[in-house]
Amino acid sequence: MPEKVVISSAVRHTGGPISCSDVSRRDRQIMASTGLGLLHGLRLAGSHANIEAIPGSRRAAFAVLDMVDPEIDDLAPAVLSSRVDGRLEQGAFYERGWREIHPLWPLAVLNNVVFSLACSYAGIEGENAVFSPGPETFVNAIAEAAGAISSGRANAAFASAVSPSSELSLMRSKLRVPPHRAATAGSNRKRGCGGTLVLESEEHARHRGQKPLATVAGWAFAQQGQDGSGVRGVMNTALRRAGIPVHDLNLIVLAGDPGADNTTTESIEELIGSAKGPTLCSADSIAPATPPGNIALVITELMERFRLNPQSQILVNASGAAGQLACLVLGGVQ
Amino acid sequence: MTGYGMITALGENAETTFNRAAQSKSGVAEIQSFDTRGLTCRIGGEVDDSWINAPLAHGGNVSPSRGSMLMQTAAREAESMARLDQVRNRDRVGTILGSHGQNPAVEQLALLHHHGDSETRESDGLSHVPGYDLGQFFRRRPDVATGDLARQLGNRGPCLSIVSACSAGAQAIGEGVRLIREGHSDVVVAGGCDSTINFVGMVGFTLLRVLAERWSTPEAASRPFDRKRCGFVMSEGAGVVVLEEYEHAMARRADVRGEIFGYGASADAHRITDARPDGQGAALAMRTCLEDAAVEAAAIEAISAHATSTVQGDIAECRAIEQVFGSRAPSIPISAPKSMLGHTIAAAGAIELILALMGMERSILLPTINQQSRDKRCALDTVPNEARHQVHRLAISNSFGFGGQNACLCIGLIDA
Repeated sequence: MPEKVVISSAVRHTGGPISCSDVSRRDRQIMASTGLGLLHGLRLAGSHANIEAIPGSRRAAFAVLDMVDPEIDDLAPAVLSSRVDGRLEQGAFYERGWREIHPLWPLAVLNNVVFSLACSYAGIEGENAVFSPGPETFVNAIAEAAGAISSGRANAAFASAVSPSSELSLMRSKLRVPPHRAATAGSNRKRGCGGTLVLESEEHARHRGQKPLATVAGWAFAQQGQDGSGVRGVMNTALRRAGIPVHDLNLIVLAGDPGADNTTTESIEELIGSAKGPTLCSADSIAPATPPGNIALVITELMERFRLNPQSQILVNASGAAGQLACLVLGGVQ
Repeated sequence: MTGYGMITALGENAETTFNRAAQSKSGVAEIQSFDTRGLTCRIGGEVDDSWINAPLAHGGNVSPSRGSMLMQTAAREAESMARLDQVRNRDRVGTILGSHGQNPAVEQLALLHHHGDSETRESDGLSHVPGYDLGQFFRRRPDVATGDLARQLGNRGPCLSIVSACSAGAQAIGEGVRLIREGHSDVVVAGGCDSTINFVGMVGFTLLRVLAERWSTPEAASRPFDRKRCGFVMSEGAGVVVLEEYEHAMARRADVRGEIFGYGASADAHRITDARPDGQGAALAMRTCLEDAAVEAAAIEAISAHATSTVQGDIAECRAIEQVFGSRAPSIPISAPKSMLGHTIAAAGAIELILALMGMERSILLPTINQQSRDKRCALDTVPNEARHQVHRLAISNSFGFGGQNACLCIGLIDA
């Protein structure tokens, strides 16, 4: 019988300035706001879960980070020094211009380096992976963390996601939003935000005196079928794994993607029929934020603000830009 | 594992790559694809354009990244070998790739700067800048190559992208194994792809001072474990495997090429630019892998080393191997495929795992070429310069990511 995996700590990061005074100036420049947000989340969640006594090699971490974009100021001197009569001369750039690029830039655009730095400062030496970059991959991170716990590969596992906050990321987030939603995207959605969870086995948490916040009951992933069968399939699979009939759900969080949400709603109607169904709400209504931190923010908001009661059964949907789908089922605990 | 495929600087498929590697050939040469004047490193392992077999555009007007095209080429080989068309329920077929988005071109970066200042720069206006290619945004996204491949193969199962640099390909395969073990998928197409031989990519690694900048000939520049090594050589490629639940493979009478017995991962939690000198992080990944595989260290007959040809990295890996294998360490043959291929970054873990399996299938240990004067701090059996005929059935393949992310896979032949 696999151990029940619980969330023993959940913290959200709302995108404000982060103070990590022990981070060196050099590392701060590499990590930028995304990395510092990640580190802040790892530390705060770890602190809330009191994991100090757990050795670094028994701490795992799985994070979702979008591309870490070049800071334009790091590149601008190189471009400007390669202009001749107002035009970029490629030869000049090759010959000398590139030397003006800030030397830390190559590190700062590698999101695994940013992740590794955050892990290093947070004392995490165990299993780890960085996923990228859609909101659905936060469910992947949770699933990997749960797998690391249930198979005994770690005693505590972090699942974290942080949205980027650079100028380029804002442009990209606007581009990836369907046109009919473009008016609200980017400007109203929060950037640089996200959330971090600490997962452990229920037995381990209670043994340490930690009160679990929720159980990670089930999850599933799929690539969307053209007929929307992927949406139905992923929900059914997650519920089957959780051993929860759809009628017992209290709340379904829709992904916040119009295409996937419509199919999800239709699928729920098919599953439930005329019976009274669970409450539906959109991820955007709980936490309007840019991917990939948005679903992390939704889940931590649910943990922190809404407080699951023992009877709570929540299904969270998430979808990626390339048709990836994920579904997570959370349950309350006694 | 019921299928595999690759495309590298050595060849357009796995067979050619392996055969040329077994002949101690190098895929490293002067870079031809762009003007390298001014760069301190002007060599790399480029894939011949004529070998690439992938559509130039998908779903309309956005052309895929070069990394994605390399992956699609490699995947055709793997798909054919595994006879993947036999698998009808594509909801149970997952796709996991280690990949990174394509670097922006210099011209595109320049256009970005032409467009306004920090207050006015925004995408709506950017789309009206003449010459700006909005496909850049999509080619930069690490998950697009995975989505492209899933669409090409019709895989509707889990679709996941991993971005842990040099360990991404190995981690993708490790996570694919877990998806199958945990019952999420019957089949997973997993691997890695990367193409960083472009101006911006080369500049990035040059600024980090990790590329080889001194060489007698390009072919001699990548020299893991050799005293004269001075950095790695950038390369490009893709490697992909078809992982399958054993009974599922048996039921459709697929040819089982080998088995992934275990996967381990760890973080150095040390300096971001250097591996831990004591090799503890790498050793933890190897030990975890062996534990996952439920095999004793004494059973391992060969090692495919990460061995990038950097001074610190190669030494740290040797220390790690010594910690895990103890007194046996000097007698275990250790191959360094990057001595011939260069460093394919996110593709390396997948390519090297496949080469390790092919070596077992053919009883050939691939060589570590360019071994002229061994570094005494790397006093292990590196299969110097020439391939060796030796029966072996169980090996590990190491991949250590820049930043301290370590992955190890244990692979072997299985009895018929």
